[in-house]
Amino acid sequence: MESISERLPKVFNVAAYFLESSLAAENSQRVALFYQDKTYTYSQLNCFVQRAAQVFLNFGLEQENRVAILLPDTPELVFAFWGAIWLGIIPVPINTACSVDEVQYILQDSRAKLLITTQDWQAKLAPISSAFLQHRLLQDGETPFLSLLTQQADEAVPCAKTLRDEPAFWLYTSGSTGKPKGVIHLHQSMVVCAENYAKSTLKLHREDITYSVANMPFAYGLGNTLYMPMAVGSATILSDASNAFDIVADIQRYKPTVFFGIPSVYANLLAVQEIAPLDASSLRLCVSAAEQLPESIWRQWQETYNQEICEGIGTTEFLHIFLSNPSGACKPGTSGRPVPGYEVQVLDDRGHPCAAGEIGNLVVSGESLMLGYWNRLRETRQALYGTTMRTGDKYQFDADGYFKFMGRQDDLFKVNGQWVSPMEIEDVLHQHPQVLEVAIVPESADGEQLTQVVAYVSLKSGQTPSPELEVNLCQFAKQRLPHFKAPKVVRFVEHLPRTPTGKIHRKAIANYR
Amino acid sequence: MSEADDTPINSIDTLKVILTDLGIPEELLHPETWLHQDLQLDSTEIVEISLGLKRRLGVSVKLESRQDMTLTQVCHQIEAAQFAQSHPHHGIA
Repeated sequence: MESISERLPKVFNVAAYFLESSLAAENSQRVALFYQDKTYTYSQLNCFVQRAAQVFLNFGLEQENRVAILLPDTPELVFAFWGAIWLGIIPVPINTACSVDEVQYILQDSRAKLLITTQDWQAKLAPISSAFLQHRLLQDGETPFLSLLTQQADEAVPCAKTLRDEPAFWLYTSGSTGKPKGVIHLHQSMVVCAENYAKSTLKLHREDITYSVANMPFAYGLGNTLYMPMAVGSATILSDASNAFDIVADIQRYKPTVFFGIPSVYANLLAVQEIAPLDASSLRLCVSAAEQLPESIWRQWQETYNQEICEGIGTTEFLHIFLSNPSGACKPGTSGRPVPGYEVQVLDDRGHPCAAGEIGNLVVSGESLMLGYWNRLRETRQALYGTTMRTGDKYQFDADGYFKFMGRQDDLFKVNGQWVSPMEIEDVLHQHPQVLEVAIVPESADGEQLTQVVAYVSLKSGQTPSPELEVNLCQFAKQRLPHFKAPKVVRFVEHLPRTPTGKIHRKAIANYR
Repeated sequence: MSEADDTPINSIDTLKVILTDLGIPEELLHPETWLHQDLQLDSTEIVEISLGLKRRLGVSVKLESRQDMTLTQVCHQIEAAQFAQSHPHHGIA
């Protein structure tokens, strides 16, 4: 069968494809974006994208230049993203939850010529270390980006004659070394995900209103909010919600039909239901991704709101979800079955397929696979062969073809949907004057609870474990790390087990539990 | 709005206890300390504060946090919630 990407013309610009198809479907006066008290129709969205492209031309930007977009989920992010792609310029959305050091690194690594950000972020970044950056635009302040767009004449800007298989945008993903990696995606990638997941799996349609707690610089959020709704001409909500109470208020206000959450958000919404009851009556579909959803949360959500949560899993490298529980046939505690268009396999260490119930390495093939990591040849070669990627996840599948997450090949794990490297936390705790050695491990009661960070600590000679010292260590970490990475629990041990080569033996620590 | 008889004297102390339980050092906690800007609290910790207030004071405080809040501002919300709960016909939700 001809693939989705092969059905696209060789000369293909994905911004033009989504904009023109959404307007052609007699959709032009329908709402594309809800943002605070404002709405933008597809016609207005198209105008603002053209104007953003005009602004980029005025700055002298050229095809294949990079534009870094460090903004919360706002219309300006949407306009800048599509405006850049329209011209063949590469937008690089950056998550505003990144640290200053990470943003400085991404600006340098991507060699972005233009940065679009906020006054707050500009102040935090000063001075910007990247020698490649030539221009800055601010969303707020004296000359906001939106007013600049409004001042542009409504002149059609010809779209760049890009190819379907040339780079269109980058997303940065955190890496095991602590340095984010630029994931290069092609013009065809968003179409593939929209067809395979939004249309075939979720049955997204033009009457839907989507609401995503994951922001657009995350691959999950980019699909949920930016291109999947456009692919079917539906509306989406751009939100600055930062906790469960904000989300409850947003759902009350906008009445979304499809909710894209992550496990910790579902847990928080359930925890506050007596304080801030959620009106879930508008929702026809709830989705979870980014990390394993504990079965207990799935069941509690079902009992409370009479809704399944369609859990799935994807990666930044595949752009969106490739394993998903089908609506009406969810199997809680699993990541579901392969999304159409993806071949998902569990292989043993010699590369042979595992039988049902055997734990092996998850490898995935599909058309939305990245071109590679920017300037990371070794990591790219390690991850990819052909259209297949080694995800680094351990999985098994059952007789019904449902895949279940069983851990990682490396030491990384996820908390609040974000990657955590144990070494980063261990490095901080090693600085504590009473700590001799430390190992960080994730604990989730075999997937029954959300993952929490646990520190196993041995103390220097003469130091004594105590509840006060446990509190002190947690505070010490919290003052030096993003709070979600700080250990929730400290367990004191005499010695940490080590491998014959002297490394901390994490699997042996897991057996302590 | 009169708060005279309904203002608990312990809302700031309760808030401080909840925050120290979350692993925030007590010396960082002052009336004008900002939850996000100064303490870098994340979304789960904000929910923990609200659950702690429910558990310890019996009040339902929705800590919507699109705008950062100081400890004093949180206390005002606690006191408003206590007032509303003790005066259910007053019309303050």
